[in-house]
Amino acid sequence: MNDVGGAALQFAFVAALYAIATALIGVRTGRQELIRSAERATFGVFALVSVAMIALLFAILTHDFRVQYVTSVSNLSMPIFYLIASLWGGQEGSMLLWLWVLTLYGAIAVAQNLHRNRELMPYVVPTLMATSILFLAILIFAENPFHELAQAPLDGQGLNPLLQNPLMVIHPPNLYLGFVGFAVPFSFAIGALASGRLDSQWIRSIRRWTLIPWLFLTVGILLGGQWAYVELGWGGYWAWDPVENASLLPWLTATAFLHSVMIQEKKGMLKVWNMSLVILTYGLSIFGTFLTRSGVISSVHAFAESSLGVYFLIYLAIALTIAVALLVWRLPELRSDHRLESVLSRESSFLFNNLFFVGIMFSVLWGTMFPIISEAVRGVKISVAAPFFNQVNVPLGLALLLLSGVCPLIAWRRGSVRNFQRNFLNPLVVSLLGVAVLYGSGIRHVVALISLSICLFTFSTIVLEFYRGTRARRASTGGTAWQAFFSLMTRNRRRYGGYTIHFGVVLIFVGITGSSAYKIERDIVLDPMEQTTVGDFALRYETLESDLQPTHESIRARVEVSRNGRYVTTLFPERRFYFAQNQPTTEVALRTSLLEDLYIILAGFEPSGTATFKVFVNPLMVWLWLGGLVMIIGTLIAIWPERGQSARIGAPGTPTTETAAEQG
Amino acid sequence: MNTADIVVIVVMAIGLVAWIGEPVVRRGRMQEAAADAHDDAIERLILQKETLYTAIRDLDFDHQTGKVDAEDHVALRRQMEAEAADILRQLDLADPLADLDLVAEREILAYRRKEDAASEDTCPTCGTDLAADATYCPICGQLLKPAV
Repeated sequence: MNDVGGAALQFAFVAALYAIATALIGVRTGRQELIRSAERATFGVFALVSVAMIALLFAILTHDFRVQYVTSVSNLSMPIFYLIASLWGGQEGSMLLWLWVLTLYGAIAVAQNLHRNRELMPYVVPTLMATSILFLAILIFAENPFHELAQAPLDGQGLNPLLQNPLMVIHPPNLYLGFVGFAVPFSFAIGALASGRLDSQWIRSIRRWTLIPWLFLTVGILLGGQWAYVELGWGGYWAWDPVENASLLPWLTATAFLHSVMIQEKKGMLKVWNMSLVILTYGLSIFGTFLTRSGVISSVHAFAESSLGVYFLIYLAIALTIAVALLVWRLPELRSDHRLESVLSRESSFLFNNLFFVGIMFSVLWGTMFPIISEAVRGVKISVAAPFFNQVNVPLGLALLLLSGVCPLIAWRRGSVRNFQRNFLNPLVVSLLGVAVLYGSGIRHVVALISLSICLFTFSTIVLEFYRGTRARRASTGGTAWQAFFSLMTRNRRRYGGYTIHFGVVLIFVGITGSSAYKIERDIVLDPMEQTTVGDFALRYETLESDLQPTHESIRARVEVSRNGRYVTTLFPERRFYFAQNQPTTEVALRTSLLEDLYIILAGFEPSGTATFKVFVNPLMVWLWLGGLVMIIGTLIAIWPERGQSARIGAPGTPTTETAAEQG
Repeated sequence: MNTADIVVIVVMAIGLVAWIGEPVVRRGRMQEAAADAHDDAIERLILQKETLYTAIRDLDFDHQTGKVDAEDHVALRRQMEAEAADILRQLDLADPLADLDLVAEREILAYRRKEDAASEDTCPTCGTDLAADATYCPICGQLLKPAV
């Protein structure tokens, strides 16, 4: 099977080259059958890469330790769940998964457009295939997953214990589904530029193709944060680690694009800007892969360092040069159909939104690249720590949150000052009252007060939007408020899905504010049966327990938690020692409530039984994850296909102007 | 390499070549492509139409929820309607049967326009000509008689 897998990758390489050549020849000579043949090759590439995936999975499941990759990521004692996960637990496997997702997306995109966008497809196919060739080249020439050892060991090394976590099993595929997905919008952008079909058609074709990768990337980032929180044991969820940043960079530009694309769809404006965002997002996805996989910046994630960097950098240089050259060539044709009519309009608030997103992107990129740049220029690797990122990004992030509250209140094209004032009054009053209450209850942290007041403001504008919409809907269709609310949601999924996502973002900001402004962190040393207090919690360390498992030995402390004299729970912070990898890990003990998380790590212990703990109290932490959940729900609402695609509105005179009750 | 592997690899190679090569050997798909291009043009027009319709809906909605003044609403809606009419004309030229619903909608529109022109009533708020039996103004939404 290993030879079959290797051969499949080589065939796929040839087929991808063939697809590029025939598609381009086909469009030059007008021979449609060549373009059809190229499209078939994309399906072929997908099938072949699938064969390679199956072959590698087969090798892992049958414990074929002749294969170097299998030896490095799995062993005989691993349960089947983690055996499957080890398919992407190492360098070669994760590249293969990446490639497989890419070819899957490519095949779906081509299948969807067999009778549509015919002028674009001869360029879409080569762009998709070029990306596949990058990964195929790496898998064939640099990191062959089917490479066999001269002599097979009796057992493998097993998967890194830090990765043996259910979150880590689904986190990488999620990120890849996100990263890789942006190749499709990019290839359509290239198709539009190369073919000259620059109207909004391509933008519409990729609408879902941007939202779906965005959803996966969002989920991937959140899962990564959750994994860091429960598995790495330093009490936080985001450390501005280069690899975390790598996943955030394309997310930022993609989010900017999701907003600005609405202006192009509605107004035919910002065409060059949107093109640039798509190109940038794709470039950053490849760059993110490069950061993660090349080990250029050492970080907790750089599990495997390798010399892949050259492949990525050469490819990135070529791809971006071609994309930018095409963009410059088409500049005269990308003029806007309309001009910005008023500073006080939704269009202009979208522009600000985009500037902030791109601003954050550049600051994160700069902070991430700084160690490499400083090493190259001055020979010293200077890491940029979290304070830099926070100082720059907290104000920008809060400004964005405020915009997400302001923007929906302003009309397209032209907002009038009178309407603006009327719409703003209530949310403003709510947020000021809220701040007064918070101040009264003893909160003095300035940034937290600002952040929470913006959260309240944005939250009340969202509620207002839903309320007004429901009222207008009910005025026209009658029925109960719930029926009106439901029909409002189904009539404009994108808008109300978007508001739902904004609500999730508000919750995330609440979680971040609470857990960073009011975090309690304590290092404590306790003898058995000794007691201490952290925040409101009384902790009593009772005893150490040890347990011997086939793969690891574990030592855990029994800690009784009470508050105000009342028993709350018993927690078991734990340290494990994995024999195969010769590696210790920490298992966090966590008690979550809507108000705060109590987070205990067993940092060390002595034979006498004296133990060292690191204890965190992270207020409002759970709201971050709940907010993520709300974002996912909102995105699903927005993605869900509309029934009856064609939007019908009445001619003047039919009851679509449903304001009777409100006006009268 | 064992025999089974060799057989699988050979089958894979033959299958791939046959699958990719078939369109080139068969050819004769030019007409299909030409038809596709024509469909593309029509689809593009229909999309433009739908974009405008959505924009009009959004405008109405913004007006209802108090974000757009009656004055702006009338002006912007007129402008969009003119653009929509232009696209409908282009669609008609491209293929009169492309969208039967569209034809029906146009007829209704024309009928209502005629009716509107015949009536002498105007809206007290925005001055739009109204149909004789209008319950509320089609442009600004002003209630004219109590709803039934």
